[in-house]
Amino acid sequence: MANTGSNQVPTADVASVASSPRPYLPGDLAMWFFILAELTVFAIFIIGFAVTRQLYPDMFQQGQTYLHPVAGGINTIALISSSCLVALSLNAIKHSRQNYAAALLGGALLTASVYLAVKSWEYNELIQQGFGLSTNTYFTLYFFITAFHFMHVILGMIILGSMAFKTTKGAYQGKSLSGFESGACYWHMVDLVWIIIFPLLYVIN
Amino acid sequence: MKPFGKMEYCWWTLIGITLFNTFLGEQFSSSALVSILVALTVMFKGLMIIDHFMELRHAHRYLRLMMRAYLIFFPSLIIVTTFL
Repeated sequence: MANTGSNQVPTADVASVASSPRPYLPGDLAMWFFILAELTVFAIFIIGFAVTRQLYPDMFQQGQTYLHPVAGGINTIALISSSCLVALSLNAIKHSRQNYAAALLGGALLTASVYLAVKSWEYNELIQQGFGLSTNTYFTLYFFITAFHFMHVILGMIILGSMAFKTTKGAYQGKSLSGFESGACYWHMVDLVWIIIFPLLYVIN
Repeated sequence: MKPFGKMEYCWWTLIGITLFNTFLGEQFSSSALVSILVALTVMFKGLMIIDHFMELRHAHRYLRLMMRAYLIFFPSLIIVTTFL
């Protein structure tokens, strides 16, 4: 797959990338097509949710009272922290600090697992109260959007785990960082989508 | 090893905004002002992530524009629906 020359330099730092005359592409072009496709799917869900909310404002207002904004906030903090740790890990690997980069990825996985735990707790709470996919349009959309995102988090964690394993084996030493950057960008995309979903589902009614 | 001051600053800013949004969700019933405030903070958070975490600030122009347009368009929809 086409890639920029700057990705071929293993120890290229951000400053050298910034001053590069070539347009810089973090990660692989194929991964960016995938990320943009995923963002489009989420965009359809978000528009669908916003339009349906205009059609059934009372149902949406009532449905939202059963959600926990604090749980949503904890999840947002977990994903932002995880995303930050991945960005720091990329910086560390650019400075040939393999072990530190792997440790940061481990931290990112740990904070991501907080999201999984809190979201599972939320699902359990709602199901215990008798809410499910077929309760009404609000809960159908709520479960669809959040479960779809939940699956992306799981896939992202598998990618991060693989990146951490490869980092400990020194797979990125003296080689292109394109694979690492692609995985990192995917994870940032997962974080980005949650940042839009969180206020839409939990804050605004 | 360069210190990551800028990244840490971004992280603290994002956490602060998230706590503020959570507080709004917990304490206030939604109003036009809350919706606009939240939409603007979402826009700001998203732009911070694509610029600093994804490192798109110096990336290819089209990619940067597409990502920024996404992050501006969707929060703007929240503002638009407030007035419908």
